[in-house]
Amino acid sequence: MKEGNGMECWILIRLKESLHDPQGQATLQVARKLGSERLRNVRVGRLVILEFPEGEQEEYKAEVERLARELLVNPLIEEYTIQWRS
Amino acid sequence: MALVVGVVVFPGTNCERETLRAFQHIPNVEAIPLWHNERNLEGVDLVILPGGFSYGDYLRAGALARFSPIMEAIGDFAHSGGLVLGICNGFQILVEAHLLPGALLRNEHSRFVSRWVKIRVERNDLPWTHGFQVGEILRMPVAHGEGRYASADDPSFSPELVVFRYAREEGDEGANPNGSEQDIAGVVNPSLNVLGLMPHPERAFFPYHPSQDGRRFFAGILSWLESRIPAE
Repeated sequence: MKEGNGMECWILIRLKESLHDPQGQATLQVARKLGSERLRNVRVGRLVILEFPEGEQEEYKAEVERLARELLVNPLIEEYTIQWRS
Repeated sequence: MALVVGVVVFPGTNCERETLRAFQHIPNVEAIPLWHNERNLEGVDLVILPGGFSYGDYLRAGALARFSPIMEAIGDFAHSGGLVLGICNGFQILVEAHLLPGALLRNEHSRFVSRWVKIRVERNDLPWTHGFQVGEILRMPVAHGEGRYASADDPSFSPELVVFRYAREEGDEGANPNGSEQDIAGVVNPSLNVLGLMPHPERAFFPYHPSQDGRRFFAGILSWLESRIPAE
């Protein structure tokens, strides 16, 4: 829950497509058993939500990118997308 | 003078007692725990990052432990040529800290695997394996959920850095317990002084274990260190 006026940065992290994702494959198999025959693929990732005080995205951008690269994401095996929500 | 082995303890590490106990049973060796908040290594001759679930494996296995204060001292120790060994979760921490190339991913079958494996020694021109023959098969147990090694296009990886492979004998389809690339079970850094492996040598040590190959492994590292101490 956000406190007062703030903004959230959602970082969506998933394995690179070239790497086998056993969580996604296991989930896909079960989804097919449940009747989702048209489902082509499932990939499972991670969502990290960072909360900042209300401000401009620009002022947080460098900090978020640094945290993503150094801590939240392993760039060897993962890729990520950043979404801002206020 | 006794050799001193430091076993690093992070919150969630759970193999430190077995590892300390093993080294304490080797003559002329002192084994001490090193808490992750320490900033110096107390003059140890060998650093071991043991198995467990540091920081609950949150985020990614090893990703949070790598920022513990002691890791800076371990990085300095490694860069000055000191021997650093990561076992299981310790291996995961060392790849996250970029002290070893590549990455460790969730097992291919996505199950936790806990069983004995055979590993083949790929090279013996190292402090770690000088007492073994190339091609020699060692038996040790594994216990991990994220042990699938991937070189992941890491420019610091090269095939000659592979020290141990799961030994794939004919008809033994289950030899590789986690789906790791090229059956890799252990790798060394390009300077050859940092080693990580998924199997647990400390669980193949005492006479009541099904194998004592881990004892031979540890004893070999110590004999290499002893050979480097100048005669007084």
